[in-house]
Amino acid sequence: MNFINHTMNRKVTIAPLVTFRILFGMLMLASMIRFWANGWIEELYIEPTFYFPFIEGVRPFPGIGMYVVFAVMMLATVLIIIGLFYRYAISAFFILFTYVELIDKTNYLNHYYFISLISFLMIFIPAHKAFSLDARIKGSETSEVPVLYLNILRLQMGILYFFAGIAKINSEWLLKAQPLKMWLSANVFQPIIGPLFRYKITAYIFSWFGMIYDITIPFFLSFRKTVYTAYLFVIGFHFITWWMFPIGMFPWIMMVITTVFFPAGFHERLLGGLKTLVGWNRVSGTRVDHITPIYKVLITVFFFFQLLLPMRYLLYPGNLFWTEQGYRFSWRVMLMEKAGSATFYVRDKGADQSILVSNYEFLTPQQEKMMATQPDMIVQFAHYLEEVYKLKGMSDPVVTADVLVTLNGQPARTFIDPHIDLTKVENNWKNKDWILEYE
Amino acid sequence: MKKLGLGIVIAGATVLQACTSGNDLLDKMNDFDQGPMLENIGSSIILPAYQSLAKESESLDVAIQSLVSGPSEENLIAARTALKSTRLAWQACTPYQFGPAESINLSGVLNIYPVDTLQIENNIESGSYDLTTISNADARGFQSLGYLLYTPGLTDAEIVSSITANRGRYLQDIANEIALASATVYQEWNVQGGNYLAEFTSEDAYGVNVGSSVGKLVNAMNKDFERNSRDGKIGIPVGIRTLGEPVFHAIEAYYAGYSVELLQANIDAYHKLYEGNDNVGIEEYLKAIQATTTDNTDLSEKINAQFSSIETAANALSDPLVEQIENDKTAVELVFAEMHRLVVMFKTEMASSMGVVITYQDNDGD
Repeated sequence: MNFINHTMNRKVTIAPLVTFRILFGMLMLASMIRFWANGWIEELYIEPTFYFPFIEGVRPFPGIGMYVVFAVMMLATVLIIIGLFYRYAISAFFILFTYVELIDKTNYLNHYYFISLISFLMIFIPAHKAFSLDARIKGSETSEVPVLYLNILRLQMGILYFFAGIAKINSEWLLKAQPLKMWLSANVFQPIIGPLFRYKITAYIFSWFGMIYDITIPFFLSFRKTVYTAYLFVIGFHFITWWMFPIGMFPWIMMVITTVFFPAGFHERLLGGLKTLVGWNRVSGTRVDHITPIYKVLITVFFFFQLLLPMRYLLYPGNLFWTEQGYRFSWRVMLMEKAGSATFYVRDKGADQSILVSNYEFLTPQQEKMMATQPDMIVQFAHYLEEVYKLKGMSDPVVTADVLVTLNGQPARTFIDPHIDLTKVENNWKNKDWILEYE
Repeated sequence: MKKLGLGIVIAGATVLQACTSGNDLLDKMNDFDQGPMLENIGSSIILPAYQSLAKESESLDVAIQSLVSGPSEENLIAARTALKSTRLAWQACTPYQFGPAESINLSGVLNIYPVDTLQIENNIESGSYDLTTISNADARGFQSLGYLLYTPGLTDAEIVSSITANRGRYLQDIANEIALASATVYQEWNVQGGNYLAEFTSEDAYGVNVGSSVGKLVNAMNKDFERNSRDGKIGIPVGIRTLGEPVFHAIEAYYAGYSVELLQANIDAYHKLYEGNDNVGIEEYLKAIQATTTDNTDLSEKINAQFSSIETAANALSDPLVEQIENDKTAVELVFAEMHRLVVMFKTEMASSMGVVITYQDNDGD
C-alpha cells in the first residue's frame, strides 16, 4: 500500500503537468506547421492513388478535407497551449492525429505512435486546471494533484526508452555493429567528428552506448540526484541523432518533454516566469484533485498492454527483423537497414502470359520502398492489384511477386514464396508462413 | 553513470574483440572521399554529356532550318543524320535528370514517346498551337521530328514535297524547343553559366541524404533506368504490361528505326557513370565501403558483371526493334530480364550499402 500511495495517491504540485501541456501543445503546433509547409499533406494524403491503411476502410478525406483535418489539429494545439476547452481540444487532437496515422502504414513512425499514446493519456490528465483559460472561466485553480498523473507520463517515456534499448540487445547490433557501420559511414563527410565515423570501433562504441543509454536513461532520469546529468545525456544523444539522421521533429520532442522528469521546483520557477511574462493574475479559488479507483484500474490495464505489445513477436517463429511480425508498436527505433525490390506479376487464372506490374504506376516512391520489405503491405498491394486487373477485364487475377530484400548490408535474398497467389492470402494475426526463412 | 557506461563499453569491446577473433576493430571501414568522385562525374561525364547534347541540338536546329528553307532529299538526309546524333547525345544525359534538367523537364521536352501523330497533324493543319501546353506534351520532341522526317507510307521525295509552310514551321518550332532546352541545361551546368557543377561538387552537398549530390544522383539514375531504360525502351514494347503482346508503336525511335542503337548507347552511359569513366565512380565507392556491409564483399563486381550481362544481351539485338521482336522476342525479353536484375541491385544492395534512401522525396524516418 505504501508503494501505491507513493506512486499514485501522493499529492504533488500541478506545475509539471501545466508545463507539459504547454510544451506539448507548442511542439505539436510546430510539427503541424512543418508538416504543412513541407507540402506533406498533399504528398502523403492527397496525391497517392492507393493507401495502406492499418484498418481497412480508413481513408483520407477527399478534396481539401485533409487540410481541414490539419487545420483543426492546429486549432486544437492552440487551445491546448492556452488551456481553453482543454478536454475537447486534446480529445479532438488525439482522434484526428491517430486517424491520420491509421491512413497509411507507409508513414508509420514510432514517434507518431508515441504522440498518439501521450495525447490519449492527456485526455484524462487535469493539465488545464491551473494557468489556463479554463481555470480562469471556472474561477478556481487546482494547486495539487495525485502524483499518478505525472508518473504515467514518465512511465510512458520510460517504456519508450527501455524497450528501444532492449531491442538493441541482438547480435547484429552489438556484435556486428550493424546497421550503424553503414549509417555512420554515410556521415564521414560531416565536419569535426565525421572522420571518426571511418573507424569500425566508432560504430561499436555508438551501438553499445546507444543500447546502454536507452535502457538506463529512464532510471537515471527518475532519481533526483542524477536527473540533471542524465538530461545532459538526453540532449547530447538526441542532438547527435538529429544531426546525423533525417528523423524530423522526434529529437526535439524528446529533448523538450523529458523535462517532465525534472523536480517540481523547476516547473514552478518556469511557470512563474511565464506568468509574469503574460501578466497572469492568480485565480482566487484553489482546490485539490483526486483520482477514482476505476481510473487506477484502467490505467494499469493500459500499461499492462504497453508491456505486452513489444513482446508479442515472441509468438511468431522466424527472425523478427526479417518477417517484421510484431515489429511495429514496439519502440524498435532506428534498428535495422532494410531495402527491397518487389516485382509483381498478374495473370488470369489458367492463362500462361502475365503482366509485369510497374509499381510506380500505382505507388509513390516512398510507398513502394516501404511496401517492398513489409509482408502485410505486400499483401495489401496485391489485393489492390487484383481489383485493378478485375476492372481491366481479368476474371480471376492471380498475383505473385518476386521480392528481394537486403537486411543490414547482407546480399539481397528472396523474401517471400514467389509462387504463392497473394490474392488468396489474408492479413491477420496468424503466422505468415509464405515468408521464406531468413537463414 | 558516465563511469558505469564507459565501464560497460570497455567490457563490451573486450568481449567483442574476443568474439570477433579479429583485431581489426581499430581499422578504417570507409576510406572514401566523395569529393573526387563528384568532381570526376560532374566535370568529366555530366558536363561533357550536356555540352555534346547542346552542340548536337544546335546542329539539328540548323539542319532542320536548311531543310525547311530548301527542301531537298539531300537536306532531308542531313536533317535525319543530325536528329540521330542528337538522340545519341541525349542517351548519355538520361541518368542525370536532376537539378537544371529536372527543373525544366528536359526529358519531357526532348524524348516523349509514343507521340500522338493525330495531334501533330492537327497542329500542323491549324497552324496554331502552344507546344508547352499539356495537350501538346506528346506532340513534340525527338519522336515528333522522327515522325515528320520518316513519315510512314511516304517516299523520301514525297516527304520532301510534303514540307508545306505549316509543316516546315512545326519542324522548326520543335527543333527550336529542343535546342533551347538543351542549351539551357548546359548553360546551367556550365562553369561560365549557372555553374551548377560547383553546387554538385561542393562540400555542402556531400553525404547521402535527400539534398546531397550522391542522393540526387542515385535517385535520378535509379528512376530513369527503371522507368525509361528498362520499361520505356524494352519492357513496354516487348509486352510486359500487355500479357506478352508487343506494343510496337511504343518503341523509341519507332519511325526512324534505330532503337537498339539508342538502347546500347544508353547502357554505355550507365556503365560509364558506374565506372566513373575509368576514374573514380560508383564502383570505386562501393569497393571502398564494402567493409561497412556484412558479407557483401563482391557487390561492386556483381554490378559490373550485371552490366556485362546486359551488354551481351543488348548486343545480340539488331535494328529495327520491331523486326527483332517479331523474329526473336526471347532475345528482347532477355535484355529486359537482365536490366531488371540491375534495377533490383540498384534499389536494394547498392542503395542500402551507400545509405541512400530511394524516395525522390524528403521525409522523416525513424
